[in-house]
Amino acid sequence: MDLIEFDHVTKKDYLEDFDLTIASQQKLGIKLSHEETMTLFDLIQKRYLPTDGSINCKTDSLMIERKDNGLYEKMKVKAYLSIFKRLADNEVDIYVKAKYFFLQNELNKRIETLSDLQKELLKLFRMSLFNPDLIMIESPMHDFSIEESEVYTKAINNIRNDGITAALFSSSVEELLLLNSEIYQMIDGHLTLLNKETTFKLSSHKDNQQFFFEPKEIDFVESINGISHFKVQSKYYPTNLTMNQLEQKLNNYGFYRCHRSYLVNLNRISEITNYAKNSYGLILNGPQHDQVPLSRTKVDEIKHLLKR
Amino acid sequence: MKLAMRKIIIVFWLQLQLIIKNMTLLIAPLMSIGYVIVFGKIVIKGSSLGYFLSIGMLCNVAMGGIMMSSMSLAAEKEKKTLQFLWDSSVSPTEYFCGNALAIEAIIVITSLILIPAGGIRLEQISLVNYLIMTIICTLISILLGYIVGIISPNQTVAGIIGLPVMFFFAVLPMFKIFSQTVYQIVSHSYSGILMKFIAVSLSKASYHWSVSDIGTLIIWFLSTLILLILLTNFELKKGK
Repeated sequence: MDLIEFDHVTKKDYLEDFDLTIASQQKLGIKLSHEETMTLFDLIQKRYLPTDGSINCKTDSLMIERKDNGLYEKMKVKAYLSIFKRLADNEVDIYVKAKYFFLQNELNKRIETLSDLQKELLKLFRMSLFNPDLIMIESPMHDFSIEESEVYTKAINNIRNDGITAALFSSSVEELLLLNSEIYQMIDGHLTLLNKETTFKLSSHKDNQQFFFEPKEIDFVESINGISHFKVQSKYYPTNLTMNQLEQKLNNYGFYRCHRSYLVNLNRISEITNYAKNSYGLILNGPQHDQVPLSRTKVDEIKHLLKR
Repeated sequence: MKLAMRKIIIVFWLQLQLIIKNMTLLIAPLMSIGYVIVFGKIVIKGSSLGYFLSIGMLCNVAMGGIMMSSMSLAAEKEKKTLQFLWDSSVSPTEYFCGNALAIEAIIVITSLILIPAGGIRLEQISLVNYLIMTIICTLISILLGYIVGIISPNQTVAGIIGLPVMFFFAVLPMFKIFSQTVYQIVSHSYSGILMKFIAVSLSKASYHWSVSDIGTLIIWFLSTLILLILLTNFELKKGK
């Protein structure tokens, strides 16, 4: 069932020819800038009319969460949720439902003491109380670590399993990739479904030249004297990004942090070696048979990942 | 109607919790109680009691009403907490009613505390008239505060814009006994009528509602309400 249709929606200076239909249960991500997202939300909420096109909202039960929406920081989590539970006229037991949003231990805490992740989960919980058909969220995972992103992803999947369609808007494709199976982006004035493989490239500046690599081209990433380097076809290319930043970006492209100074492309691994007691390494495919150290504590995990 | 009342009550409880947890907003009512207690103990019982109670009431009703409504609205705008309330199908009218009820409750309760706090016996003042006057004047203060809150993007600006408004309605009337000009100006304001009510009630005479007093209060109420509605519609329709 279609929930909302955007028919060539245009708002001068902000949105151009935005054409999209969101159906029930779709796992959708849309790459838009903050300004474009705000304009779209304002149009949906009829704050003003589009310059051209139309929006056909087929459900009354739609909730929007803007990135800068605030919370009542001085209130306790349970008291806050109780207010919205009453507004939503929902009989749900907050203690039971809190587990789906990983907030079961935070109910008696003041909202101002929550982490950024917990605040985003609280907003998600608050929206779910209204049992909407569709929720539209702007950039919920900006600045999250990998672990935090995983928790938030689980929470989103929980509400999707409850039958709520969640569409996410962000200016970062990496953020959208974590949560959605279909990503759309405005390309040449049209909303286009992205091919995950071709959207993402990493840059490197070397010898007065700029290089761009897709993740699948990179054998591994190594930190040498504090600078991260891509190993591509037996050559090293430096990058300004830190190992942690690269780990976050490449997590969805089959890369694994096998060592403090190495990120390895799992598709390149041909063998795990044990060259001494408690010393492990990875041998990669290719003519050079590159060797990459593997932390002793990560052996079991990488074996599990390679089996998948 | 029933649905609207339900939402107003929910907003009332929400706003009551928020105001009570914010010491900045409670300063005016607490200060008025402190003021009346201190001067009630210092002053020899007599006609001056009415003057100090009226100053306490100005602090509570005029200053407290304007401050609580302007700052709470400005805080909601600054922290962007209003948007989700609108999305939760709470209308601006329901929000204002719930918020106003919460502020009204706090100020009316404080006003009742001021009577014994100031050493005044309940028989000395007509409680019904006292409550009616408090409720009407508080409502006008709240509307004035909303006007300040609507035009302020944050609490700091609300505080700055609210200062002259509070000065005119809460501080200036205190000086009416010192200047005929001030007396003339203040007698046309709602806070001036509040002061007059207290002074007359606690003197040997008793207060009677006059056409001019009722008319003045109605004019202040209607003009602030109309201005608030116009400003709210303007803000809501403001678009790109």
